[in-house]
Amino acid sequence: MNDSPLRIAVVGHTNTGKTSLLRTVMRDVSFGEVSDHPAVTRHVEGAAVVLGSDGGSGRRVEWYDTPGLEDSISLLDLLETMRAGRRVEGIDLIQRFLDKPESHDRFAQEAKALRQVLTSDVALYIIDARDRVLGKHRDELSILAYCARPIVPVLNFVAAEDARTKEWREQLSRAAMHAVAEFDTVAFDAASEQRLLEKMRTLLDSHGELLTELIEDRRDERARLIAATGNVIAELLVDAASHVRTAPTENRRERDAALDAFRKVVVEREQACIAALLELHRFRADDCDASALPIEDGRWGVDLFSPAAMRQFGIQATGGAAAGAMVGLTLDVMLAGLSLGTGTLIGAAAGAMLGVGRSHGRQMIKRARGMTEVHCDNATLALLAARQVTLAAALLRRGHASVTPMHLADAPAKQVITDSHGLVSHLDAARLFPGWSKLSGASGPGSPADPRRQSLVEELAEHITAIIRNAADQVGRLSHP
Amino acid sequence: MSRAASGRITRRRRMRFADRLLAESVRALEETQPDAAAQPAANLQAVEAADGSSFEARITARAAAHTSADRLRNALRHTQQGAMLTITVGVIVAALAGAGATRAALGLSADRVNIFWAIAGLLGIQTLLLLAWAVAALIGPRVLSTGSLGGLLVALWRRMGQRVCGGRGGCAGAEHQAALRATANVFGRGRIGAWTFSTISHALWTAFNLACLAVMLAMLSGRHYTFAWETTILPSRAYVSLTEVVATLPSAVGFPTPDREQIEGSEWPGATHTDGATQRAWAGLLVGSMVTYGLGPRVALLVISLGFRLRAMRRYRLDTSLPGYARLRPILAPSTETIGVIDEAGDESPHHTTGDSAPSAAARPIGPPAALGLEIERPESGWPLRVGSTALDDLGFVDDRDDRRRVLDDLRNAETEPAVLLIVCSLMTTPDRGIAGFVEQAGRTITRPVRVVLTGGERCRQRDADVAQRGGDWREALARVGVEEENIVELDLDHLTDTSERVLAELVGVVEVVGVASQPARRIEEAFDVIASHADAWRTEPGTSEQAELHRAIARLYQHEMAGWRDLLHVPSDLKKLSAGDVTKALRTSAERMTSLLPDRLKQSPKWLAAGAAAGALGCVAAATLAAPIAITALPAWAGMGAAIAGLWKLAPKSSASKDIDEPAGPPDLGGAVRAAALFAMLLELQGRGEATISRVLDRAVTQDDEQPIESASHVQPYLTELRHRFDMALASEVTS
Repeated sequence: MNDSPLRIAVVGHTNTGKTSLLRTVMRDVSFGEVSDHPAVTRHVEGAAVVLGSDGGSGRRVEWYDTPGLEDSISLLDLLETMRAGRRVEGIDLIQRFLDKPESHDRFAQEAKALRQVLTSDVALYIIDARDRVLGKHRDELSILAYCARPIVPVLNFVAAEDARTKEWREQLSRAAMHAVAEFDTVAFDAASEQRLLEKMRTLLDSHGELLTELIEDRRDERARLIAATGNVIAELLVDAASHVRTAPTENRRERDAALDAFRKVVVEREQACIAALLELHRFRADDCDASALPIEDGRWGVDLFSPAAMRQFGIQATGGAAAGAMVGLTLDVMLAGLSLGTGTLIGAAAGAMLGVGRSHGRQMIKRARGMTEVHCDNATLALLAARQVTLAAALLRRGHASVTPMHLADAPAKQVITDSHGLVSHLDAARLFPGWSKLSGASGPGSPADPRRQSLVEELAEHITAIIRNAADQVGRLSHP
Repeated sequence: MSRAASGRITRRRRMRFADRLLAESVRALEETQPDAAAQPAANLQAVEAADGSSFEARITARAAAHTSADRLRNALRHTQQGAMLTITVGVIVAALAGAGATRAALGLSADRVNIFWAIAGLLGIQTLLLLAWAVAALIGPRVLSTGSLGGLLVALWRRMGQRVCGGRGGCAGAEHQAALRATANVFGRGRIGAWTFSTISHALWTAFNLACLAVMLAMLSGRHYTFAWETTILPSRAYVSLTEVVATLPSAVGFPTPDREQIEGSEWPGATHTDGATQRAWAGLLVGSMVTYGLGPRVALLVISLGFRLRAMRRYRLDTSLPGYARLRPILAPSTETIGVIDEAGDESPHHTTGDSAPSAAARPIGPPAALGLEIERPESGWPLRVGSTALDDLGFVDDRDDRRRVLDDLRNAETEPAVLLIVCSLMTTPDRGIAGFVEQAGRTITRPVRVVLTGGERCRQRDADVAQRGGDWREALARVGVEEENIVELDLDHLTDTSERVLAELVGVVEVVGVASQPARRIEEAFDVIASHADAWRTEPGTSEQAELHRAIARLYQHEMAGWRDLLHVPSDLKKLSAGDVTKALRTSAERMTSLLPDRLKQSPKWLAAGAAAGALGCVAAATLAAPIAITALPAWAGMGAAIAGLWKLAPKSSASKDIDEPAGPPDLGGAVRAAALFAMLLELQGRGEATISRVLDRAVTQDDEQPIESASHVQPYLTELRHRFDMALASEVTS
């Protein structure tokens, strides 16, 4: 078994996304500096993936970001002058070049990259697939070939409309490079990351085992991430569904104040969920990049309790939900024609049979006292679910190098809406136990400690995980037709 | 996980169940107190102590170092004490119930005891419950934890815990709530939950049975009972065999049991066997049944449950996919590590003069201007570049090393020196040192300055790139090789307009210029006046031919710049020479060009989409017929063109009244005609400004909603005035930005 770390040099023309690749592979939005300028990275910077940090082997895969190759044409000229028609092996030529003063002066950037390639096991040659294939690219490949290291060309920005993927593949196969990987650092796709690693494995026998471990590690990591995401969203839904507040039936002002307070608490809870998702997916909320998410300033552009939000997601508002102050809420109003005595009795009797006696009895008593209970309505819960699922799917598809805003379609896939409505039907149990809600001001039967709550969360999380996976795949199919 | 790795874990301190419970409490606490969830010190300690241990071990280490750890441990102890107290009370209650049940079964007043009633009374319910438990245990832990007596007690405890703590200040704190939640979560669910509930259930029944036995023995010792059985409808045989069956187990254990004769003799009334031995045998059967059917199984199951519970606790692992833990993974067990900068950026300046500093060319006679395309695609306006009627000397495209050598040789060796060397680069490309170096080398071959055209701006913009920033990068890169700011021009060769051609002409120094040298005067007022007067003259709703005449009148105002807007609308050079099919195609092309210039917002509106399409097609007709003063309707091909244009109006929504009637696409209404003409006029006014600018200005000038309806000629003038006002505002903001 080869215990030494695997070293990967990431090279390429300037501004093709070398640092971006590292960011995305490391899931680290703060690695290096990324911007649409030439020669942003002028140094060699490394980061390592430590395998099995969870009590595993602790072996390392080291990735090195290098300055861009800018003047390959002149450099190849220089190398050929140095060769002067004699038969010199490429690697000796490179060594000799690195000893020359030019390597610290005119070609300092190129020399840094080449030096790193020489100390690495493999070089990833990053290509902006939107660029035309030019002489300078061919010369870069020639120079890299002198280094006598396996090279995996990586096509970046393949999700772009004007990507010339085919043209590049043709050119690369002409240069005898057939293990070409496609890896978009902005529109992230877990499957293409796996394929990139597999391509590297085919070229690196000595590190095959290590790469297999890395491939599995990445797969597990993603599965864990999706599971945790499902759990975060399930917690939100249970909290929102079980949350109940009472408001006086008659006093309009007090009632509206209570409705506002209710909405505020739920909206804040949604914010907390967004923050948790960002943290989980390692996009920082205070990062300037966060503004590039589908949400503005860490929140969705449209308030949860507005008809516009429902329209945006194509969710049908139920009943009175569309009317003014009641948007997104249901009020349990007193049953007409039932006196206090019969109401309470019927409630208690029905409750006793259903095993939820306290809940119903309590409602009856509150109604009789002139209070109404406020809940989130089903449409709002579906909206909550759909929004978070959409966000989660988008986060799963977002490369950590993205600096431009993410464009979400106006409405998410129909399937997400249908599935979200389906989720709401699982929340009926939560509605009976206001105490399950962890939102402030909650009181009533049930407690957040109720094991049944946890079981419900787990059940929901499983459903949500499946929905997110589908939704993320959908986005994937759209960007890779 | 490899074998080596798992070995490493076992060498480390064993994680105990209590550690995991504490971690669960910390998770519960942090859920409600997001502010307290940072815990940098605890994180650090956990990472430092980790040394290759599992993520779970790091979580427990972090929990142990948590600032609330001590308070949580206290709370957990309280919680567990509370649970024990509840269970103790439960055991006492069960024992009292057992004693009570025995007293009731044996009875204090009657001397005669129905033996089967007694046994069934004491064992019946608990045996049924035992069977229920067994079924539940077979089905699964979930059923077990909710349906059992233990489950009932735990629910009771949870409620009590909340109530009691709610009242006392001491345990109402967040820590206690968290400990309660964690305990309930761990002990109330899954395998641990199932076996905990079982343990409690069996403990309660054990207490019940012990109390039963104690009271029973006391009563049997201190009183004389006559055991008997009786029946009304059953045959006595049944009782005999039943007794024998029941007695099998007790007698096997060694309890005295009645023999067949004794059983038969004990039927009431008319019992023949009332002697002491028989009664002792019956008492033996009673006590033996309690021991073997009641106490025995419960004690055994209690021990088994305790064992399984311990095993479940040992096997308990934290669910690290829970959000409360998952968020800690990058902190406690980061799968990535920074190596940092290993090869520093030197202070070398990114530009160095290229090696072959050939002496500047000797003075040569000046030839025509020359142009070369450096790493660009063929521009849509064609190559070689032409300025007006002058074709520039073509040096070709430079894409690779050989091209570079060839061009440099050509430049050096030509007999004349180009008056201007124009290097065309693309904004789509990121400028690099190689490009800059070549520009410098090329510049050295001539005595006059190099001028650079940056093309491809529109396509760059379509890629969502920041064109201004890219232009800045180019200027910076070119400045380093001595190309001065005034010699660099951003000019989209894919979309050449009058203005940009003028700039190009200036750049290459060709004085003979197309069109007027200065910025043409505004004619939008005139154009809008023309629209208003035509609209006034229309008696009925305007037909296609009236509209075509109006467009021609507008186009006449902009006749001097016709080359530019013809290009913009892709009008073919001579419409009259085309076949009927090609004419329709040309009209459609112009219509599509016009609609593609509309801002996205207006493209959404069928009304404006139709107006745009009509404006484009009518503009095409206007351009083609501008020279001829005859009426458009007199054109030989007019019938076909008119129909084609009328077809474009189909895009417009029909009025709501006739929505359901499938009427043929008739002539558009007055409002549509005015909108189309106004669009056309604004387009002609804006030509030469670049397509993005045109779209932007149209976007600002045209409102879509809430505009006043144009139903009669009197509405036209106010509408146009308002539109022109907004148009001016949009233009002004374009200038300032």
